[in-house]
Amino acid sequence: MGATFLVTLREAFEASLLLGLVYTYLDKIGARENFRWVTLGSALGLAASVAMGVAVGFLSGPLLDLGPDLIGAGVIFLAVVLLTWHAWWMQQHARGVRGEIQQRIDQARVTQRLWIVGLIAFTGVFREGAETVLFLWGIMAQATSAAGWGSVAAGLAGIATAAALGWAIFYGGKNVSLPRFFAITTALILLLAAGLFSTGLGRLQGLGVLPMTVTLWDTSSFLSDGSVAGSFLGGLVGYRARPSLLEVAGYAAYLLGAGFLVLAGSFRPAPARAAAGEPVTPRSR
Amino acid sequence: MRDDCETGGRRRGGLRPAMRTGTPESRCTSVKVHLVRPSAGLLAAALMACLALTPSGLGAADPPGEIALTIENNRFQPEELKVKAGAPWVLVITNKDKGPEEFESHDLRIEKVIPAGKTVRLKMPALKPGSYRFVGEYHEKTAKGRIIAE
Repeated sequence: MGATFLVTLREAFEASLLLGLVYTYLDKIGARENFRWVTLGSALGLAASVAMGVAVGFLSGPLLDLGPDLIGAGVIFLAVVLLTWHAWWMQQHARGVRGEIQQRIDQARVTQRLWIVGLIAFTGVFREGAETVLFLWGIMAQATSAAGWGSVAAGLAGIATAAALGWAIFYGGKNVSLPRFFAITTALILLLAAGLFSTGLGRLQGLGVLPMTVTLWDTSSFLSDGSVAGSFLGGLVGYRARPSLLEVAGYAAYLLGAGFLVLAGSFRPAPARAAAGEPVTPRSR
Repeated sequence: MRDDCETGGRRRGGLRPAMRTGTPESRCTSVKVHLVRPSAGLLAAALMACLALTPSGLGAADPPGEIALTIENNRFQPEELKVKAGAPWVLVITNKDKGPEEFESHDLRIEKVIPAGKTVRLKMPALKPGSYRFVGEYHEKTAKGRIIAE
């Protein structure tokens, strides 16, 4: 029962983290009317998860051998692109002195395609969604005793706990000042996306698309991937107990590349920005 | 014939190093093709010709071995798989249980759901000697095992 709880909590953790972040983002920039995109994205993610869960039951042969994995890898890389875009966008509007930032955000609400935030919700839910659906379906199919139904309840409780974490982020985020919220979420999203990127590379290694590389270190005796702390760190910052050279290199390259892309603007204020007022950048201080 | 080939090689100097790896025949085939019409399609055809002329028996005649793994009563059978290190192989997993199971190996970067009653074939890369753990993520307490490559 406890194991069931942990499995669903682990699977749903990343989705609830992302949902918490994007809902808070929309709330913070006063674009609550765009909540519907996130809700729609999540609902579609859930529907796609159920569809995929049902579909694998009907697939066979090469379609079953490879299909779900290719979709899974595709979703991972799509999520990386979307998250990078979102972090970049937030940074574009986070750099302003007090008072001015609100004006920029109003501008952002007009020009930013906020429905793309809904896509982030979709990928967040769909990534582990199909597995969670299959898992719950499986324990329901095998639930013939009271203990069996206890497992089902524990599984649902795991998802509920993950959802509560998302809510905690949402409510906690309300009390954080806007610039700080943007700074924290940008860092968090970049770390999360770096972890996803290296997971994607690892998955391609597992599929044989990319060659296997040496294992750089082994901390599995200290903090294994399967442990609760290990899997949370895995979802949050991409922790691996036995990472391959390619995964570590990919992680570092992504952080450097995306970090540069996202933060580069801070070091060279655009003319319009300079005219609008003194931007808070390391150089202007 | 050989002379033709050398001429072609001289005219298109950039191609020569690659051609050196082939037999004299294969060098001629590809260079001639380039001289006639260096389009992408013909280039591909030339590459195929080169490949066809390389000594056979390296991959085609030696299909990767299959190793079977069964899931029953939320356990793997066998729990220890021995494979030859350095050669690709195929893992054939059959789930005889009534519920799905997820074959998961952090060591091998594989997460694969096997629906109830289904069989999946996973192409596995050549492994370095060592031990690689795997679990059935949906029943981690009972479903676990390892692959020993040696």
